[in-house]
Amino acid sequence: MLLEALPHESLPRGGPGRDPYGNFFLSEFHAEVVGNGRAEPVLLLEPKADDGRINERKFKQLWTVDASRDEQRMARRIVFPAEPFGASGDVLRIRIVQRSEFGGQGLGHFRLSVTNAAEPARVAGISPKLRPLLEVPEASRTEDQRRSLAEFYRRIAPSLEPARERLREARKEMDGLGITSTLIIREAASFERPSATIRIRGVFTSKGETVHAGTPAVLGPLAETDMPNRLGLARWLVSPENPLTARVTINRIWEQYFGTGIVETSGDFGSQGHPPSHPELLDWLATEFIARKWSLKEMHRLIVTSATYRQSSAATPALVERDPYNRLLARGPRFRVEAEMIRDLALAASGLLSPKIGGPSVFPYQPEGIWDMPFSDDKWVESTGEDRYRRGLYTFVRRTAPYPSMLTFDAPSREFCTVRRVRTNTPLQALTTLNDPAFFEAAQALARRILAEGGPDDRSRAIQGFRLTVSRPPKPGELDRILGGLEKERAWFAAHPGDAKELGGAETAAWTMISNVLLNLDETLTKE
Amino acid sequence: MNPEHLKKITRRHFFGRTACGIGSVALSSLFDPKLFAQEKPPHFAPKAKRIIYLFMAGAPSQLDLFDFKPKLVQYDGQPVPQDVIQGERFAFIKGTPTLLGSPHEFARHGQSGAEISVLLPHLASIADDVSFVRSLHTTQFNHAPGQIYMNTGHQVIGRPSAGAWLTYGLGTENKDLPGFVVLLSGTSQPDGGKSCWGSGFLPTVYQGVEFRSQGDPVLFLSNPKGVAPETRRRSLDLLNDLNRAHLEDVGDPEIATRIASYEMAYRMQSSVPELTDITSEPQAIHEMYGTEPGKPSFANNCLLARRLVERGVRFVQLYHRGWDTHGASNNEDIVNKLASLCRETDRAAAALVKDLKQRGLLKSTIVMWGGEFGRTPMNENRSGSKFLGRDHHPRAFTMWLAGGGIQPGVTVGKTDDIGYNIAEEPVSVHDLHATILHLMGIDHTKLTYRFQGRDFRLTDVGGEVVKKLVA
Repeated sequence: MLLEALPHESLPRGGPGRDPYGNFFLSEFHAEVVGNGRAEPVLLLEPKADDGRINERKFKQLWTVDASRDEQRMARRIVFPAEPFGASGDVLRIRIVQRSEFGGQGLGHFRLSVTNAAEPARVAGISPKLRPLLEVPEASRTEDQRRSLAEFYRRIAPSLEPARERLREARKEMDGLGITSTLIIREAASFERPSATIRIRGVFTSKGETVHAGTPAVLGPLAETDMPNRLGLARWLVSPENPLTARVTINRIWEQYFGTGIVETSGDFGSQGHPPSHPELLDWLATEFIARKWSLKEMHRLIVTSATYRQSSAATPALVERDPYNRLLARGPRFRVEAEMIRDLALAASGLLSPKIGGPSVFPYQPEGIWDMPFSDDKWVESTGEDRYRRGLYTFVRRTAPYPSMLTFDAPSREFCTVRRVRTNTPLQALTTLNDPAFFEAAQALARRILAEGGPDDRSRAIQGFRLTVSRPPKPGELDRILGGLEKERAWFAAHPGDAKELGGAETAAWTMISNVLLNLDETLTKE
Repeated sequence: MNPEHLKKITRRHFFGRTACGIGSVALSSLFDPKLFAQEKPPHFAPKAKRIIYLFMAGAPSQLDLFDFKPKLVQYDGQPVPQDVIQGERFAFIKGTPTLLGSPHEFARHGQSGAEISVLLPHLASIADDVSFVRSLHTTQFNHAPGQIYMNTGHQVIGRPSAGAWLTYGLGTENKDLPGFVVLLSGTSQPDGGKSCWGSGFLPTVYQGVEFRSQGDPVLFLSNPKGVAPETRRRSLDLLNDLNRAHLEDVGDPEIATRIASYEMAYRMQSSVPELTDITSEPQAIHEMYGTEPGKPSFANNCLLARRLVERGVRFVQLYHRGWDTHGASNNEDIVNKLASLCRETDRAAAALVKDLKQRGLLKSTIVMWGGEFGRTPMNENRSGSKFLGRDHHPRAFTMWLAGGGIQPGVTVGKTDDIGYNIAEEPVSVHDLHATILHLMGIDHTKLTYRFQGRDFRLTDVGGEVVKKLVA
């Protein structure tokens, strides 16, 4: 069946539709065949339009046409192929439904025809722009017209099918090779010094002066013998005259272990930063770093085996009073771990953690609707298998819609380069580790693990659960509390079989709630 | 052990010293980044205590709603004079566009005689309660940077949003709720994404918390299936008990804070659903706003905004995305689409102002309505489209404000005859921010935070309080 929408001078702007712009919206097309006093619907196949848009998702209309441009004001065809139907003498009844948001957008002028030709949909393959060319006698076609038609014919010519098939195969094979292309930056050999234009206050349309590669004047120049390129910069960074690289690096490592750097403002060693709390220590560590041939591994070992790092983090009220921030290091560090590690801890304790290293970022569970962005159809498609349980640092980051539970735990959205993260303690964090399905799943897995590996009785199981979450056996008081809690959970779930069933049976449910508590202990979330 | 007492003696972490950015002012003395920001004193007596910002993402057409230009109607279809657009860079317009008179009628309303389009009949009914700034201008002509600029005073993401700055400066009056709440409606999230309400380099405790219209209003608020409220209570009792025992062992006051934050989370599990459930509102209120409980809409969010400020939330920001009326298709023109957006938003926005007024809250609550930039006096005519629409226009656009110490019934600024450039009293985004902070009792030059070696402000290095707007 062929429906043709035709322009007409009586229609707004010449048609083919009735809306003020000459467009129309077609929502439904039905056909039935009437014979022997019975009406049978005709089974229609996928319609094919020559140019109008079939777009069900966005506008909810089957077919729309954009006739707002004059050059597009021409007849449009839409073909509805059908399963064989009816017999000679039957009546074909066609029903067209037109719905639109604003009304008055019906077809203005149209024609219906029916054929029994094979593959009628191919008619629609010829675009409205090519159709008039076919009506031009071959001899009087221009070179351009001939070329357009030949180009079109090569795409459908049966004799070229083997060639097209070979091309498709080759393309598929190439895709199958999984070749990833990686962009690299390489300095171009040039007689001109590379330069960049300053954009005033970061506005890309307002250009300032042109600058050339170099080092900040306050930090000293490159060596006379070095070029202002990457090699020159590397040499400058590690030159004996430059103490900053080693100091800044060591300070950052220190900050990771102690929660605060020797220079508290680890991103700022300049005049606006804080002076170091232990300047001699910083310089000693920096010179050791250089003496040990810039080996990070040796420096990590040096710090973690130091008496300072190995102190207990317990504090007396007097000590808290005198040095609330522990800048003088009279006790060991104690601070809540970073966002990514909060996830890693729960996964590791529960046994879910995948140890896989590297590869593309992954998509663990994330609530619906976080990625609902304009001009983007990107979807957060949850990873499957072990990729659901990878370390936090492999979680995909989108700056305008960051992973919510990490953001709640102070992970920056990576809009700015952030050397030092702040650390907050909020109810939203509590809700995350208590209820986020990703964390509750870890509690359920921990419960299963405790039941499977935790030995014969409640006592041994509670000890196992405690060790898995805080890396030490519980004290007697703590063990009593956990066992007391377990009894209460058992009693509740025995009396509430519906709840118990949701959580995999009363015993698993009781241990799941205990695991949920263990994973939320301050000590679990804290490095001490 | 009393957690409140412990909190006071231990403000550990970065704030202990870095808060000296704000140092010379009284604000620093009570800083505590923990839990939701606690209430802090302003610099001087404030006129407003709360803000509701109706952010019309996508940029509404000021020329079809607030800034009537008879000359545009007169010269409709004429090419814009070359000297006006010399060297101008547009988002989509190419070549020499033609002027486009508004297809909508305007009339004067109230004693102030404000000229308002027929598309906004409800706003017209409160004309004397609102003030218009017709001379707002921005530096950005694309949505995402425009929205980021409007919210953070800078076009590149990473600075704190106005709501974050205010919560940082003033804290919240209700310690059981976040100080800064965001509500979304319309076709999608705003283009700038969550950076629009981010805390930038401020602690994340100051970021806007999104109250979602579907599912949990706050992420992870509901207990998992099979965990009854009683079960949650028991698990928190055990958790707190164990945490308290550990606090006695190691003496870290941070543990006391954590116990308090888990208790607050528990309270939120009942207070937030109560707050977001609008079924308890009387029928007259539903009619006034046009709300239908259970059906997410801008109107529902307006009503929620009132409920939030009633409970002392400092900054409530509503986003309604969809105002991007280029005229490239039937679904985004200034004839049909603009009218349908006005139907979605006008009644509820006006109802919010009326409702706050009848409750005596308007005096202390600023309501502001506007987008990230304006729209061109010329028809965009994208690829020869015959749908009427306007391109992005950062040079002049309109915003309305009401309540909270705003002088009612005034109009600030004037644009030229075709609405292309500002003719009088230009107001920059920094001026707007400075004015809002001023009304909230804050000197915008003193609300600072030290980051990467210097003090940052919401108003960057600019901003003048717009005196005419201040009552």
